[in-house]
Amino acid sequence: MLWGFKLELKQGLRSKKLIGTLLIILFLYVPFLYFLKEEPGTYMSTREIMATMSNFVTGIAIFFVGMLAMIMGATAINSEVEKGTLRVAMSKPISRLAYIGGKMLAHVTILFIALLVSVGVAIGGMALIGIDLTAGFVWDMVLLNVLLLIGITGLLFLGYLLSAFIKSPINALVLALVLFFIVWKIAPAVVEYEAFTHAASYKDYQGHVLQEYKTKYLFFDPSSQIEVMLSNMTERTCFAITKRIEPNGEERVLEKKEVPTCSGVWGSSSYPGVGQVIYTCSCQDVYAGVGHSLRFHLVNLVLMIGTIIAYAGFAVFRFLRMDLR
Amino acid sequence: MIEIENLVKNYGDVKALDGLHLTVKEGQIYGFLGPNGAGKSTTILSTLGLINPQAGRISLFGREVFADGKYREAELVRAKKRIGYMPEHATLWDFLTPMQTLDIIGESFGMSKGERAKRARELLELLNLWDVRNKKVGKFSKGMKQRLLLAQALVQSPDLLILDEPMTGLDPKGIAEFKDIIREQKKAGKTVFFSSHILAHVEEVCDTVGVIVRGQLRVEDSIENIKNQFLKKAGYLILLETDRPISFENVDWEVERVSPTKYKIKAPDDVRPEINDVVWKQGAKILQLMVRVPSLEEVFLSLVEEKG
Ligand SMILES: Nc1ncnc2c1ncn2[C@@H]1O[C@H](COP(=O)(O)OP(=O)(O)OP(=O)(O)O)[C@@H](O)[C@H]1O
Ligand SMILES: [Mg+2]
Repeated sequence: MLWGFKLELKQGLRSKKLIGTLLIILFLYVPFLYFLKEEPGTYMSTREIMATMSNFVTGIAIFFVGMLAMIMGATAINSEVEKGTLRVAMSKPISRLAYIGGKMLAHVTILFIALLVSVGVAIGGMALIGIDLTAGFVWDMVLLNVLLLIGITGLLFLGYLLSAFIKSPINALVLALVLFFIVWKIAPAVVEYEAFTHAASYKDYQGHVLQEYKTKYLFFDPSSQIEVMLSNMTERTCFAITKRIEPNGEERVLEKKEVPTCSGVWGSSSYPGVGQVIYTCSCQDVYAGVGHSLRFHLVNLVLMIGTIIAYAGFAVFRFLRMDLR
Repeated sequence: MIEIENLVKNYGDVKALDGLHLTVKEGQIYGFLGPNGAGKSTTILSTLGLINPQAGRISLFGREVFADGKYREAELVRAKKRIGYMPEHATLWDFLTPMQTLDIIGESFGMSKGERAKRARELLELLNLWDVRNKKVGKFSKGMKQRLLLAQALVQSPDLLILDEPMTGLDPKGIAEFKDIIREQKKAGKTVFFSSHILAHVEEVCDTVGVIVRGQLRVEDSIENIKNQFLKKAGYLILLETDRPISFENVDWEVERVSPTKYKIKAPDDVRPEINDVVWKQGAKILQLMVRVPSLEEVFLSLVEEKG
């Protein structure tokens, strides 16, 4: 097992795919961090920044690292058959199971490194521009990283499955990319459309219908499951504020209270001699954390792990029996 | 060393091996000959567990590794410790250097770091790759890659060498060196099983030759007998021009009159004496004279016919 692991890791860490992906990720972080730096405290509270950041990290990781995973997986076996390196490797006293196990582990390690870089840059960048990082937030990033790793491993093994069944690496690669984009863009769009038309009949502020649809119809797609799992990282809190404007023009807050929703709580009225009283209400998405969101979606976690095991299982099963020519 | 019984391998509708029987004994240098597509690579890949035949039996070093349509993984792994294999049309990891390649191969046999370095040096010097030991394999020429492929097969000094068309891509000097290496193996008491579709590649080094045609081993013979068969099948192609009719009564040639004044002749064997009688004496002119080299398939098939 160790042998295949070492060989694959050596190869993977040098590959242009990995280096290219990391460069793209770094490149995307720069303007984002710059934007955060320019706007500290003006529009966003720290908690909002955290929410934005974890969404950004998630989006980038699922897209770029996910695509890297699909590409690596889709050419993992077939390209080695085509080149013949697999015949050399498997003529040595190593069992097929040990070899493929080591190879998969090496690929997961490479993805882990890619994720570490993307999360590390996020945390490092935030520290650099002077945002206070709470221990809770850092812990959250770790949890996020683990979740993303599981989800992206699913994409990797989906790639492996293609690679074990499709002989031509190019065909497998094209199919992997098509699948990735279908699963990434088209299928969610269809599911979202269906969810919204369905949800229109009754109010769905929290996106429950969408989550339910994604769970049901995109169960095979780890990235959709991840999205559902992370869809409640923020919590909407609304505050109703009662202010009075004194005759001299000064503003005074009379009351600030948390309300479930803002509908119907704004307006103003004038009281002669007292001044004008204004009722305002505003909602804020405050960061509640990865753990908070995950609690609602344990089903999706189970579903995701189940599909990953299925993908890996079929790929290994096939590999143990296939002709390596 | 290798015992194959009744091996069957189909790729879809293609019958690549059709009940193959083959035995390679200890100490033999066995040349495995056959025309393109005869099933040589299929046989070799099967003995190493790289493809899955449908039926038959394979034993290596006296232990069964394949039977009842299944490989015995543990036996196979054990046998592979003593086998060196050089695949056909393969490349090695192009991001590694020859040193790193041999090192990682040595690791798969559990050799220590010191042993690996020593063996890598020996082999790279033997195969004239020492000067490029730190160059990436991806930048190698075909011949250099082929040498490294042979080197990686020799890393653990295997008892059995299985080589699939090892001489393709080598220059004459490379071929001569390769043959020396095979002879060294023989001296050291090792067994070598290698395939080729070129007779010249197996002569001088092999003691036994097996011929596979359409998935069956048709002949197993000494190299001399096989070479004689080649000579018997060689012949000449002659194009004659003449202004009067010629008689071909005393020769057993295949004659075709391609135009009123031209004859195309296929003659078996040596035609020099007859040319004098038939051509010069009857006043014809030779337009073209070519030696006709028989195709390997032709020779193989005639061998098969002869043996019944
Ligand atoms: N992957 C495959 N799918 C379908 N048919 C195949 C496959 N590989 C080989 N064959 C067929 O099996 C037969 C035997 O092929 P094999 O490669 O064993 O021949 P060979 O004797 O090694 O030929 P060569 O001298 O060209 O290397 C051929 O008819 C070939 O077309
Ligand atoms: Mg072949």
